[in-house]
Order: sequence, then C-alpha cells, then structure tokens
Amino acid sequence: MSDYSKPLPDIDDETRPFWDGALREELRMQKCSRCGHIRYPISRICPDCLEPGHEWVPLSGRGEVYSSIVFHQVYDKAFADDVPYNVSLVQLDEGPRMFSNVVGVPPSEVTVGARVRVVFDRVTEEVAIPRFTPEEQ
Amino acid sequence: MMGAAANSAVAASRHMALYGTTSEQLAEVAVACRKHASMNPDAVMREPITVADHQASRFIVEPLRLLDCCLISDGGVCVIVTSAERAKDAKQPPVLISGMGQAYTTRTLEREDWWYVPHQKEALDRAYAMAGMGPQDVDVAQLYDNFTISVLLWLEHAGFCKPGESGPFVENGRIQLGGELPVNTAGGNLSESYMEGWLHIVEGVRQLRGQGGARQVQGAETCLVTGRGMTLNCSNAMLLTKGRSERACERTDGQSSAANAADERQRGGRVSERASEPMGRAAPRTRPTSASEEGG
Repeated sequence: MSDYSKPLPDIDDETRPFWDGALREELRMQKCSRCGHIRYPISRICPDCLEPGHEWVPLSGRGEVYSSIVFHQVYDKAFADDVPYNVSLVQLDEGPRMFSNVVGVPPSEVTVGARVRVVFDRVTEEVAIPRFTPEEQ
Repeated sequence: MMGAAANSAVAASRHMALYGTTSEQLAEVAVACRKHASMNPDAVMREPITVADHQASRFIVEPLRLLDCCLISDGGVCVIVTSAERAKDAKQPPVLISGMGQAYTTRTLEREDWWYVPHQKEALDRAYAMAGMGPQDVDVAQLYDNFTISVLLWLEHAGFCKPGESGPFVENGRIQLGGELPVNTAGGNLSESYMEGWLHIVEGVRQLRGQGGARQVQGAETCLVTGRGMTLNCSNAMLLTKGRSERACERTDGQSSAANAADERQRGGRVSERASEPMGRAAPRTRPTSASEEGG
C-alpha cells in the first residue's frame, strides 16, 4: 500500500481510459465521433452536439497557462504541508482547458501565457496525476 | 476543484493578465465598501481601511487577499413584495421593480470565457431592456461582491465601463459615496454582512426611499442590484426605481390615486408582482438606450 495520503480519484468505467493513459504517460481526452470536438472535463455526451459516441485520443500534452493562482489557505488538511502551491488553468493546444498544478518553478512565478508541457506524477501503483512544467526553451 | 475563493482568483488572475488590472485596484473596491460600512450602524466591519491595509493582508488564494474576501455571516433578510397599487398606500414610500433579468450557463471549463461569467451581461441586458434604461440612468449600484474582482466584472457587464477597463474605473474614489457611481453603499458582502446578496436589495430600497442616513446618495432615483449564485453559473439583475406613495402625492402635489397610477404606468414603474407576469406587458421608457449598445 502507498503512504500517499491525499485525495485520489474514484476511477470508474467512464474515467478509466483517462487514468490508464496517465499511467502510460499519455494525456488522453474524449473526441466526439460526430463533430470531432475534444472535450474535458470527462463527460458522457459531447457538450457541443450532445452525441454520446466518442473515442479516447492522445494529446500532445502541451499548452499554455491560461490563469494561475496560488493556494495559501489550507482547505483540506491533506495539503497542509504543501501551501503555498500553484494551481493553474492550462489551455491545451488541442483546445480543451484543464486545471492542474504547474510544478518545477516557485508557485508565484508561474505566468499567464507561459508554455507548459505535461508531466506525470506517479503517486500510487494505480494513479499517475498529470501536472505541468515549463516547456524547455 | 477548489472553492469559491479559488474560482474568483482564477478570474482575477486572467483579468490581470489580459488587462493589467492590479491588486491595488481590487483594493479600491474593498476600501469603498468599508468606507460605506463605517457609515452604517448595522454593518459588521466598520473600521475604515486603506489600500495599504489591503496590501498588507495575507493571501488566501493568490492573487486574492483576505480583504478581497466577503464575510461569513449568520442572519436573515426580509423583502416584502406587493403590487404597485397596494404599495401606494403602504406606510413606507414604495420602490418599484422597473426591470429584472436572469441568466445562467451549465458550461464551465468548456467555455473559453467561463471565468468572465458572460451570462451576467445577459441578465443585465434583460433588466435594462425591461426597464427601458441603460447604465447612464443608474444613480447608485449594489453589486454582488463575494470577492472584490466580482465588482469589477459587474461594472463591465453593466456597461459602466468597457471590458477590461474596470480597474482604472474604480480608482480615485469613483465608486465611493460622493463619486460618480456609488457602489455597495451599505458596505456590501465585503463589509456589511454576507446575506447572499439579499442586503443589496434592502440597501437599494433604503437609498430610493431616502432613508440612507449618512450614506444617502442625494437624489437617487434608480438603483441597480445584481446577484449571483451556484458557484459562477447563475446571475440576476434588477433595476429599482423610486416610486411615489399616495400619501406623499397628496401632501406634495395633490394628485389623485388614478393619476398617480397612470403616472407609474407611463414611467414603466413596476412593483415586483409584475415580475411574474409576461415580460411583454412591461411598458419601457422611451429613452433609446440599451446595455448592449453600451456594454461593448
């Protein structure tokens, strides 16, 4: 058993492809089989055309910081030792946006518009969490 | 993810990056609300603050500081709504609901401008259209302020300034009493009490009755009240206007009740009961204004 004490995702059939991809260091999202829209967060139907059919496609894992904030307040004691930590909204090159952490730089020094790439943080045997780090120049 | 402060912090970060909005400009909202609360004997936080005090307060979710956040309060608010006819005979001077609008979205991250809560503008446009008014008709505003950044977004959506210009707009006391557009004259959620925005309605009514005491906006005839809920997804706006009571009319100009009622109809005045009636029944003022023209 892992000694990782922070919240973990409840993985089910709907979300398993995302987490299986992450274990293989691949950022995957759902692509609508009708209109081609790539969506996130994970959902049963396409928010653009309401089609349920989709396939899981790999993304480049690259994008730019859309908005960036730093948690100083401890809302969940599991994160008490982590504050201050960065949370960023990342605009992925393929279109979707996702919340994650930008790591590898001081939390307050993440700038909106900075290029980032995904990295996978293997926190347990079953779970790798996609985070982002500044793209090499 | 992550809680109310974080959602608003995301909006603040994006607004700052796009438009150069500063933490000191957010502070102007907190300072104005606190100044107004200091004139409100019912306010919870009455000690005036400065921009420097705001800047010295600790971060909660950066870029938002403690003094960017509203209070957490227990309490109750009562608003009595009746017809314009009945209101004329009530003990207190009537305040009319001249326009109202609501809007919401079910989409969050899927929408690129989600952080900007664009549905707020739809709610405001509907309220302006029903009242036949625009931002230039508003004398005082009570804008839902869960965090300081929210006031900036409302100012833009309501057409008081263009998108991105709310930071400079709030400088130099413009939203303080005595300024061009007094905002949250009782102190707002930031300093009066957090009653989920209901006290904004109460303060709007007080201002239009001329019962604001030390914080009264002289000659206020129209007040904009806005609200938001369900994280960032649901918004509403209401234009309140000063009504005329039967008693006041008899005292001042001797108008009959029929004449008074006709006058109210002509002005497009509506008491809240009208809000449940079809929008088509509203008789807008003839002033050719709309929020969409102003809002950009």
